[in-house]
Amino acid sequence: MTARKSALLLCALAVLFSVLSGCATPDVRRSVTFTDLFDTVTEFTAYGLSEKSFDEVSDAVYRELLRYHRLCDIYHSYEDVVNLYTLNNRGDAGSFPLDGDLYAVLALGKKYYDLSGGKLNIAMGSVLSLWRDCFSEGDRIPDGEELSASAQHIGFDSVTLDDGSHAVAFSDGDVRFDAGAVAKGAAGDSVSRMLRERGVRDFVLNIGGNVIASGKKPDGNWIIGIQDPAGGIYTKLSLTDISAVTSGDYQRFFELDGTVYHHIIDPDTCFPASLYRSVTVLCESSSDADALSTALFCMDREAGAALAAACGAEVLWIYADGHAVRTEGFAKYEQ
Amino acid sequence: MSNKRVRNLVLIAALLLLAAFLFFLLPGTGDAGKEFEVLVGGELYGRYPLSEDRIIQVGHFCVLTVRDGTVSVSSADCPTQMCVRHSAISKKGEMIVCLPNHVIICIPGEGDMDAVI
Repeated sequence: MTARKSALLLCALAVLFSVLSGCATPDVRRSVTFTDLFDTVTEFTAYGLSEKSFDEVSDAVYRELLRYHRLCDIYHSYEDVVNLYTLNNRGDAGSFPLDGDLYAVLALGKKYYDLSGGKLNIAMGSVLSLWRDCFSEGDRIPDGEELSASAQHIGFDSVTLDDGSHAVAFSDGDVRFDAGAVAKGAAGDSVSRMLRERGVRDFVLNIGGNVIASGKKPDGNWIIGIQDPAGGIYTKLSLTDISAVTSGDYQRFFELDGTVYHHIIDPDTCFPASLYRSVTVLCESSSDADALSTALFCMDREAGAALAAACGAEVLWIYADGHAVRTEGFAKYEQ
Repeated sequence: MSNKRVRNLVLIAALLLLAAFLFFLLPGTGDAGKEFEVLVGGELYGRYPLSEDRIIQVGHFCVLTVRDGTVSVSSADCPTQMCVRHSAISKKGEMIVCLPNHVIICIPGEGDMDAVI
């Protein structure tokens, strides 16, 4: 009888352990947050990695993001790197050979400058820097004369990009870059490639509202909430192997004399764009989604929808009165 | 049924019950009311209920005010003061960020969301 009793006990213990291990080991979610990249909050989440390999992987993610952060930094220079700060403080006009990845960021900006009729403009750094100062101070808006003087030097057409030598040349000495609208997307795509080469397929990378949902989590697609600009969650998306980016007027703003000034500046008015409260773009590449969300935020819906269709992107526009318009394909991703 | 058999069955039932108990309680899925989290430098600094009015000093970085189910930054040792100007948050998925100090105050989204944008 003792043998039988032990056998029963073993059975029961086996059940106990299988139940317990089922809720713990293989499907552990691990997450890390960075706050010193791209002037925003970055979160990396993955399943199925041991603590040690997650630490290694997140370290690699951080280093790759930091590399892009430095390439696109307009405030600091770094040893051995020609970055946007170096370019913006070039002094003499001339031609500058660039790191291939920084060149690709500028080429991405140029591509969407052309596609959007100038609504996405990473060469409007002179205007954006006036606004950036106001965002830090929060108690004034840029001086009108300064704005119109700077607006004379925001034409990307005065910049020549040479695909062969990865060189950039300027015919306007006062043109300044600010790649805030595309840097996070380009960095995200690069991290995504790096992770897949390492065999990490199932992850979510959220660089300040710029999401790459790769693979799946153990119980299905990744679930991404889209903020309601009025507060709370507007809708939830069920995503796998796709990028999602939201540009919204609530992400960075300051209020002055009852008026809210946000961070997405329309190149044509040099003031915050006011057509929508947020625009969410879904498409395969994070670079494209990032550039498109900013461009579409400043474009009327017809032109924006045409551009999105040409790029194979799906869009959700949320208006100030709370109503929303979505492309036909967007609804398919909603839960 | 022999006494031993009964005891064995009771033992198995007890173990299964324990397993079920741990399964449902260990992951902490129970809804313990709305809370917010404070992260400093990416690490969890503290988790607090929104229902309890109080003042929280987060290191030398900032002071939080919890009032009527909302949390806001009442003062901060940072150059931009963007976190202080941010309106109070009360809904799931909302967050206030003080980038200069690497402080994040957030109300975690509903359990099923992997990111909020």
